[in-house]
Amino acid sequence: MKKSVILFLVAVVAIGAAFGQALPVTGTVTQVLETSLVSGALNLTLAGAAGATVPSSGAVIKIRSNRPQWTVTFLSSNDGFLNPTEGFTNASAIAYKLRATWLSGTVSGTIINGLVDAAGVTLSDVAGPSISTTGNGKTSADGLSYTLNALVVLPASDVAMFEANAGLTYTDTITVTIAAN
Amino acid sequence: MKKLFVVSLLFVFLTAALFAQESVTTRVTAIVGANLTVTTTMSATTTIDPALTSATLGNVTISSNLSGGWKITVNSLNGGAMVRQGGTERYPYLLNFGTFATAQNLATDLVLNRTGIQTGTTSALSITYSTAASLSLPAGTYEDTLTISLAAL
Amino acid sequence: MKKYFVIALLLISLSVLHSEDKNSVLQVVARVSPLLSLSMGTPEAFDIIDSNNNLISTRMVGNFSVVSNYKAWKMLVDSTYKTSASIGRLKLDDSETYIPYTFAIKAGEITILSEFNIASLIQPITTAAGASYSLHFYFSDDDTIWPQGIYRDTLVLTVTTD
Repeated sequence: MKKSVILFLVAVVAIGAAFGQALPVTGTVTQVLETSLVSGALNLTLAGAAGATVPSSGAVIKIRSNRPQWTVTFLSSNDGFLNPTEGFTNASAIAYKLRATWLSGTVSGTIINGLVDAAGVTLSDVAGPSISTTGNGKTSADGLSYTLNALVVLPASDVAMFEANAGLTYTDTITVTIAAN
Repeated sequence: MKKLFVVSLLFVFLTAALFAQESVTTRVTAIVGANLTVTTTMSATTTIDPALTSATLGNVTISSNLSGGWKITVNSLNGGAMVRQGGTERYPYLLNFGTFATAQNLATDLVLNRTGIQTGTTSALSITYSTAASLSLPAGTYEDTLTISLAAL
Repeated sequence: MKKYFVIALLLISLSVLHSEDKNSVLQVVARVSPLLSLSMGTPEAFDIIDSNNNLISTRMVGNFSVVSNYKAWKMLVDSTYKTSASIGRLKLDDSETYIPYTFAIKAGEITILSEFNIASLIQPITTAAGASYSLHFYFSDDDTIWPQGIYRDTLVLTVTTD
């Protein structure tokens, strides 16, 4: 009895289209450039030894960007000073520093540390007054989170102290913006 | 039917103290020390006339702020006599101390005990003696030293 | 039978829509913890009469320090043995003998207070090291022979914003 091996040769031949037709498909990618206050607040209780640096409570700021180049800016409303609220008669404004410390998140696989000088930057010493920094790369979907702190250096022992007044405060407003470069 | 939930929010404002105050108590202490003072109008040296029998020495003013006892002591270096220089002859005399003592022999110290505060009290001091001739004293200079001192008892 | 395969060319275009940039706004709020404190060591005892049993006319009794970050604060003094707003007295222990005095509290050379229970000139915010003040007593001699002994008065110094 003969045995046969049957080989099936399969050839797949791509046959060119007799004709082609373009079907447009439109997709939309929404630009993401956003900052958000996740939690916390910048509250300070000014007390301590002369010359000491007093940090505020921390506020967590999240930055999200799907643009490869972006700049985030922290802008003071009061020229970098904490202004005495109504009720003080002649108190002086208080200069302060701003600091952002990386908390979580990545930028194209790289963590950017020290968004702002870790020791804090005295806002009244810079133009704006604002602090800004540029990011190279898109953030992860969860964004970059930073802990923001305000810091005040108490007056030296031979300088008049900040004025106290029960129930009154010194305030400023920080606007955090992000823009594509 | 919609139900409306009305939530009343009650804000309790705790106002901090509108004023602050702190006090310290301190004791101020002053010391009035013992103060016995004696001043005099007497000269450092008084020369008497040996032909007479008395001589005025001057005034002494004494004050004391001691509430307790104190004393006036009058001492004669030579025990109540002027002694001739270069010799041993004695020319005795007796002391009158204001109202405190009359014709006091100073062979031993005169001690006047006092008590309590004394404002400045002035006493006249004088001595009485015999004439040199009556005592047949040889010529020469006779001298003694009187010391008046105050002390607390 | 021929089979025709029709392959459609897909043209895919992507567009990026710009969303509104989202900003964040934060308040920085600072409160200054109030401070008002007074510190004074116990003054040393001082001699009050000279060798002639006369009262010494002026004595600097002691120094004290005040720390305050209140804009306007005042000082008051009270005396246990005072006889009037301006005259205090030092009492002899175990006796009813009194030596009268007047006083002044000075900031440098400036008198800020010289009467009991009457507020001083308003004082400004101090440094953290505090502002220094001195207490002075003044006596007027009238040839009184003051008995030997210890004379005292108790003062209460108060700093207040009221």
